Amino acid sequence: MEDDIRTIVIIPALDEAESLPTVLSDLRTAQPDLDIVVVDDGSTDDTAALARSAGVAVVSLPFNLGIGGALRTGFRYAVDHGYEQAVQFDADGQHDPSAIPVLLEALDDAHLVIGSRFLTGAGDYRVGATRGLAMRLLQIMLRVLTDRRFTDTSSGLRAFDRQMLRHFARHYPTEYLESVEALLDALHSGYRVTEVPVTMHPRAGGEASQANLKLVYHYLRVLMSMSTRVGRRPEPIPKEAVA
Amino acid sequence: MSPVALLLAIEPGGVSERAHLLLVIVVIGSFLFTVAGVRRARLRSRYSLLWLSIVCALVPLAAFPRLLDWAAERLGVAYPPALLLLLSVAVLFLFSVHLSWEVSRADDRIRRLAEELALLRTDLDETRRASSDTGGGTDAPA
Repeated sequence: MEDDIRTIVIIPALDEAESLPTVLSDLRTAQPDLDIVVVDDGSTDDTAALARSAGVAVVSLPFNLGIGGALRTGFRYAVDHGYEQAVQFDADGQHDPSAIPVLLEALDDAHLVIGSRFLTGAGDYRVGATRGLAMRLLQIMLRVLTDRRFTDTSSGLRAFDRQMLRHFARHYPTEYLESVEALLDALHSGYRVTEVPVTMHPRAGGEASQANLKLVYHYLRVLMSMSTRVGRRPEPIPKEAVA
Repeated sequence: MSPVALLLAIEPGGVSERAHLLLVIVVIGSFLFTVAGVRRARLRSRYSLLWLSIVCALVPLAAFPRLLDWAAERLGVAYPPALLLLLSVAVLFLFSVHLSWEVSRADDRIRRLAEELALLRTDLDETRRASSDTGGGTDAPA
């Protein structure tokens, strides 16, 4: 029975009491073999209680750490509990559980797989003009810094193998737009990264857009942090003895 | 009269008796304030030492304002108060950069502690549940 690779779905959740129960039951129905951990990022609603009553593992942070901190906690949970693969999945109902097998399959020859809304082959997904422009800018930056093309740098639907998990459990960036920094970190440290096309539902509710000035600040911050990272020496990928 | 001309019109070095008294009072006040902070252990000792040495450096300056004129002349600074301002800005700048660094580090540590705490609590809950399942719930009042 231990033949299968142990995989866990990590769901970071902040005040998602409305959508979380549906997301969890959909996941359970579509992927009954996968374990689930919900990282409650200091929610003030019933997110943690609902997740607990759904019977999944819950890690409740004492206060809000932001998506990066919640993810790092999830990665540590996965590593501590001996999981060999993990999938990051949103609690807001944006993601489709049927994308998970696609991601896991691509994980066979990559350390990090990103589910992209914009790769051709999947349905189309529209974003606002400001956000679209900002995403395009990040893409160009990444292309200059790494010579690679990525179509969806802010995707929250990703899969990680054991080595990537162990790296991110210690080093996952904690500030806003963390997914871009994480992607650059992975590439810079020599991990193999691929994108696969996925379809996503438009966001049901909640805040989709940041205030523009704040967004500008964060893009500047990421730009600075990205360019300093390139000059740093990467931490080597740990050699793993396959048990 | 422009502000610059006004500044230049003040005779450098000469300090009136009243201004001198004010200077001495301010420096002594700062000294006592810092010492009080150190004594009540509100400050970590390395900061106490830093602030104390800064205040101590001000004492001779307050007692003998001509020292500043002398130092400025030696360094080729035409307007002595500018030297004082330059040095204060440099010290305060370095110290605030240092504090930013300390705050970043403290923030990172707090975050990691919060993560650790959450993970430990989850482990504890799981362990309790497992032991109450096998032990018939005798040791874990719900």
